Amino acid sequence: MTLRYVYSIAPSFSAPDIDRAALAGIDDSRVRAIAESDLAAVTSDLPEDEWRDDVLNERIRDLEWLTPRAAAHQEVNARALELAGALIPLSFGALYRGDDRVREMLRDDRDAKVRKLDELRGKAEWVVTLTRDAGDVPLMTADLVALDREIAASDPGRAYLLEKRRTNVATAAAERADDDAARRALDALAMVSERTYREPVPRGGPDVVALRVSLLAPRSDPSVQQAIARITTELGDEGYRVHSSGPWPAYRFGSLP
Amino acid sequence: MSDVTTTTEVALVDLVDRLLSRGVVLAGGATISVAGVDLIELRLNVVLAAVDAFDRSLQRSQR
Repeated sequence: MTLRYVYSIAPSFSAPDIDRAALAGIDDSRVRAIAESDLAAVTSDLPEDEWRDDVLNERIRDLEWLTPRAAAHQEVNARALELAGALIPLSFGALYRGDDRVREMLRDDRDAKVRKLDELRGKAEWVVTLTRDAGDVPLMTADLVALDREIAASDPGRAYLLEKRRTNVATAAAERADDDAARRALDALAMVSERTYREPVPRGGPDVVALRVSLLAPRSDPSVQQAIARITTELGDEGYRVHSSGPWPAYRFGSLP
Repeated sequence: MSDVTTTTEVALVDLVDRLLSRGVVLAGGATISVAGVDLIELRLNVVLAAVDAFDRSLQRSQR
């Protein structure tokens, strides 16, 4: 028995091109389009005993297993996007029991899917992350400078209390600086984007993540890279690092309303 | 040459972040779903690990 793995949804006029391209999907499965009215799913067949939910739930935690398969998923979508011009990419692991189930999925909320495809035509998304070392205070504020002076001039007992106060002041100053840096980065990116989406950020690591944002923009628009370069320089001077990836098919914006 | 990112150009973390960040999708009788909570944790752990690795490579390149 096989399951249908769905990589993405494309306009159905691109189905013959996708079939002709004979793309290699996950585990070298052959990619084929399943068309229904004006939509087509980009799919391949995978063996049920390796891809049913309990097996998949186990395996997906194993990065060695996941990596080549996630890479194949993205590779198929990158090629399908070239062929189709517009794509709603799905997250990893969308599996259906048969072609009929895939067609059912395509019929479900069809108008919204068609609208989404139109909206995403010619677009791509980027993700930009702004981080700093947790130990760094981005900006030395005047009150910190004053406190440092006072600590240096104090006896040990008083210095100890002042140190504690200094920690609180420094934390508050760092949070203010992070908010400010995030706002400026977001403003600069919003200027060159059609949409932005602020991602949840991980906490408690060796780095403070001040901002993670996905943005949607025309695929070959150089102003996105220019804006990223600008904030990298500007915020780099203040102790922040900017990491970006893209252009991607619209994984985030394809799944947002 | 495509102007859309291909996997040879991107780090694993970016790939996993994009592909799994909403959790694996589509519940219901017709589909197989993967529990979202575990994936969110996976994503965050991977992101942290990668930011760390990214910093180290950055520090090396600046030396």
